[in-house]
Amino acid sequence: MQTTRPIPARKVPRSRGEILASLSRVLVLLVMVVTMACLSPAFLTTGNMLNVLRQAAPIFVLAAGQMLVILARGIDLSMDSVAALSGVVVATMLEQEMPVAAAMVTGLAIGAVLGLLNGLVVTKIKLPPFVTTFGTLLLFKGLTVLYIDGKVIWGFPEAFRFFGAGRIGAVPAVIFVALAIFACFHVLLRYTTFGRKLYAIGANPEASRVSGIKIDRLLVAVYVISGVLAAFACELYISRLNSAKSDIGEGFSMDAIAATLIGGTSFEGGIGTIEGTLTGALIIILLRNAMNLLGISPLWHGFVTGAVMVLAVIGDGLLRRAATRHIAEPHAVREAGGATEGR
Amino acid sequence: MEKPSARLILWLSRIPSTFWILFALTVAFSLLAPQFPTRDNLDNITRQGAVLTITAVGMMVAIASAGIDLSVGALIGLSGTVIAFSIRSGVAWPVAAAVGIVACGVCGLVSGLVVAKARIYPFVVTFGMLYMSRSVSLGITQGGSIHISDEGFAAIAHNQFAGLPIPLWITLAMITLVALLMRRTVFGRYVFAIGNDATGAEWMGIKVDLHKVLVYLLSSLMAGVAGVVLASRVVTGNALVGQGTEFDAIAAVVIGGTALTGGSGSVLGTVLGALVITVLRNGLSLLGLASEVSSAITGVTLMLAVILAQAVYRGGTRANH
Repeated sequence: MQTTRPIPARKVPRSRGEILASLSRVLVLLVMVVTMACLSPAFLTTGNMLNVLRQAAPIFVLAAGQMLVILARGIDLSMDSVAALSGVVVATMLEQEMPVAAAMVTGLAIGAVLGLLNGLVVTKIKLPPFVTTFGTLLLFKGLTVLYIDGKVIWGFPEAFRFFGAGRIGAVPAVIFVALAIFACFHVLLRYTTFGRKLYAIGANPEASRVSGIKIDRLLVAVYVISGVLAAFACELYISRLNSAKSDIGEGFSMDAIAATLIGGTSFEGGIGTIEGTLTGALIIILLRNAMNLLGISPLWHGFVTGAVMVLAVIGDGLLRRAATRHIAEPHAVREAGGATEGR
Repeated sequence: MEKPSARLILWLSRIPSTFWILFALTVAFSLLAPQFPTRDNLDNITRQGAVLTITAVGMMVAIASAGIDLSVGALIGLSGTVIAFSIRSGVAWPVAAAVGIVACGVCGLVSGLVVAKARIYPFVVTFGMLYMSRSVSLGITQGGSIHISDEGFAAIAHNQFAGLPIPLWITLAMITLVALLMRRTVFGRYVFAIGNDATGAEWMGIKVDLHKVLVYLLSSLMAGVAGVVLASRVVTGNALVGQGTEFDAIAAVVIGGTALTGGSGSVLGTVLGALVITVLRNGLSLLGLASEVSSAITGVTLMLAVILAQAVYRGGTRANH
């Protein structure tokens, strides 16, 4: 069921359009900070800034995983229930007073196994990623409910609570966790063959396959990483919340996709940076923070997040088209915006 | 002259495979749950199935155009909250229902314009619209629910017309409308052409942008109508009532044999797909399973249906070579 389409001409890895797009993110972030600093005296305080970073950290962790999948022309809708299933298992283990390290590692391992399942279905059975991860979203959710059955587990040991709620000096520990993941992803995407291959697959799967990249193996790895990060984000989340039940993780995929797209990763695959994804997560949280400080009801958060996401993607399209107009064939660019690739 | 048995097999093979899934489910649930094959439960299934079926046939049009509409679940909520708000403000219920449907149409128009003019993926646009419209509904209800006290409006879902529940009549009307649009009008031909190859369609002189706008307008209007049925059934306007219907609708379309790649699509298949999901959920809940567990089974059914469809497709292409 492959549809052929012209591949848009594009400089790899960073064209002028890319640089413009990522600069525009930083600019937006700066404008937001300056505007808010003028509007609300409570905004530019150390406490509030640390608060913004603390809230952005779990979304960034999720978005980092989602970004890898989107770079490879996939999508991971199952993050919600991967997080929920691994989260309730971790909580149950902690409740039975098992060692914190063992519980956390088990949680990540469950994330990896569920991600592996997604990856295998996508690569071996060749179901579209959208159908696969939507199916597993429902499946894992059902398993979560069967496993925990409406119970609420609360009161976790101090050692576990440190990652999500603890502080190193005055700085929440979760910020350091996010920074560590940021550094790993920066190296992974920029300085390893894994990263180069990932961009290549996203830009042109067929050419990548012909040039000898083992696409299937790489895609499976991508879904595994996404699963592990969903599980990890959930550990951070329940560690902060100090409780877990079957509906944890709701909205994780949505936030992750929104942060990824606001961060300039192209839904078409092959374009995106971890720096962009970080700014995406920060923009989402800054918007929510700003609305709270300005006394706007949290009910409107979704409206602003959705609008900013669509505007960011429209803006990216315009910037990229402007930057590549002289090299790209007009129909190729046009087509690039229209096809869905059966996702 | 063929043997009668061969003709029978040929005739049977033309029946969509989704029908057999539905048939098997119906037989299985009738044996397992004595409450399943009763008139009351049948009425229940038509009421529950109406919302999904109406949404799914709209979704089918979006998918046939190689797009997708993730906002329909949120639009069902928007339709209900707008209606509840209007009725509470003293508007007559037919006007309120129209306002609710029009509100959804406006959202679909916006989605369609962005998809067509800004040329970004329908997934992204309608995902953004999901966020925005749900937020608007939450704003209207202030995060809670608005009770609908109008008897006339509640009658839509609870009364019967000519011996059948009114939601069934509405569903049949919507199915007929979409089936006629897709099979008997130029619009339908163009949508399939665009779904097959948008650039080719443009070169043939089809107004691609206009038709994309119409596609999202249609799918959101269907969601609006589904919202009327649902709001009347639960007699409340709540932003979250339709949550997740978009996924059930996509599942119905896919189980019904429509490929997500666009260019094809079957109204009958989609209706059967929606019925499969509704019967599955209804039967499993009669057996006492939690809704999440029946969702999990729906998820597995969805994946199996797509695997089956792909296998049939591959078998078909192999035979052609």
